[in-house]
Amino acid sequence: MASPDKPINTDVPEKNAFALHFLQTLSNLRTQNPFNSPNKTNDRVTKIKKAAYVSMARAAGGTNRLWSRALLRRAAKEDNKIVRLRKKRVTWQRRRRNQRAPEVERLRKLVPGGGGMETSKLMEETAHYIKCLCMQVKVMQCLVDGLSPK
Amino acid sequence: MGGESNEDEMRFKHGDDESGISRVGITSVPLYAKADPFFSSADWDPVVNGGGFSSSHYPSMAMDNPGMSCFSHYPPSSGSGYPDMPASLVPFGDCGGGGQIGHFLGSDKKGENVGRLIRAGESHEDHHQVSDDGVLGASPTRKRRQPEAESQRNKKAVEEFQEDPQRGSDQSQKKHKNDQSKETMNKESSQSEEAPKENYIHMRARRGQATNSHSLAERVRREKISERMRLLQELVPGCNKITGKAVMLDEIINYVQSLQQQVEFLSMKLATVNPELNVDIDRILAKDLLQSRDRNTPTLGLNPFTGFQGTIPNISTTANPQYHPLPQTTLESELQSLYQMGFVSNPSTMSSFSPNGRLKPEL
Repeated sequence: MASPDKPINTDVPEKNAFALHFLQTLSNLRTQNPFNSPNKTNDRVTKIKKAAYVSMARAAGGTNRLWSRALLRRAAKEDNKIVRLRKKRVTWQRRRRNQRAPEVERLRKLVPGGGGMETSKLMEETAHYIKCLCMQVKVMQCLVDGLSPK
Repeated sequence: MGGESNEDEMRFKHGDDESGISRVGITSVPLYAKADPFFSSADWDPVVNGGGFSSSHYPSMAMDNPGMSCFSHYPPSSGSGYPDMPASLVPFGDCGGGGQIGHFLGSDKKGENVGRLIRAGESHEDHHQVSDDGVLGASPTRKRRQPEAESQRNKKAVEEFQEDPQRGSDQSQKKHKNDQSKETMNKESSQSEEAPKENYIHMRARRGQATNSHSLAERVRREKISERMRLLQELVPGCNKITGKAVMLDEIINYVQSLQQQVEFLSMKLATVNPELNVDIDRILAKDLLQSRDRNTPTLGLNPFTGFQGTIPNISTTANPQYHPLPQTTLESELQSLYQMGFVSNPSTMSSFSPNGRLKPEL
């Protein structure tokens, strides 16, 4: 039974949008702090990974989606080096959440920003997130395939 | 006069309350129970005008034939009072029909009562005919004693009040049956009533389900979740055959984790090819922007990398014809420019890539 007030929308933009965003983010990454030292591959990996996620979030939803918003906010926080230690408050919500299904809690941790979502919203966001991840994986696969000399 | 008649209504309500819900009936026998409040409100004035007559013979009538006693008060013209019925229905619906279910039914209830009252009116005609035979003689005397109207009316109300238990004891069995039939009718009407309500309730409790607001909301929530789960089920491959939410969620979690690992793995791969990427992304993007300006560059037909060309078109589905051709050509041209710049030394190896290998990197 579809809820009449708000239909579920998990439409994802085209793959090329993802590709464009990803390439632009990569180039920004390079101009900001160029990969001069070839030794630090781990750094590069994390940076490219972050670029991939950020570009995916930008291409998919921007700030319209909960998960992309959370991802972008987290990325911005990391950029600014503002790391706030979250207080561990045991509110009634958290207590109640501990009683819920453990699978849902695991999913909550996987989807960015999933901690504060209602379960139905979490499912919707997960669906969108999965679609975007598929797109991003395809784009990256294309890039890697195109770039890697064989 | 109107205020007084209201007072009388109140009294009749009292009487109804005393006798309970059992006074509500469908058949013609207990009909006077309904007709009383009705005529007390709408057609009272003629009765009041000639109300004095009842002081003499009304008690006897009540003793003889409780069913007909009240109809004896009506003037012969009371048949013309039927069009006034809907005005008197609201109080009636409250006092007479106000059973357990009637409270939240509202308008439907009224409609039912209209129908019943009309039926009551029809059957009332018969009663009226019968009662007229006995009362007609007394009717001329009504018109003389107008000043005593109020006191007589009060008396009459009291008598009605006393009369109620009699009625209840007389026809309690029949009324029970009538109550049952009425309840069923009310259920039907409640189901038809709930259809327009569905805009904001969303869920209707089936038989045996809890109906308080919390469990209704919980049911709505569960419905929502299962609907999204179905959505996810379509999305995640290999999830169609699984029944059971926990297993399905496990599968979904695994899928998301695998996708995230793929992203990580691919970024690692990109990092290993990074030195080349480092140099050329700017050039790619410059070319990209250039080619996005002139869209008509026929890169599709001219490029020699057919293997790569085969992979790109299945990436994008043609949804937006305005937006679609531009990025496709740009992406392709980017990657072609990559090849042309010498990163791929042997273009013939490009065609050896299997599309399955692209989608599923070795993890």
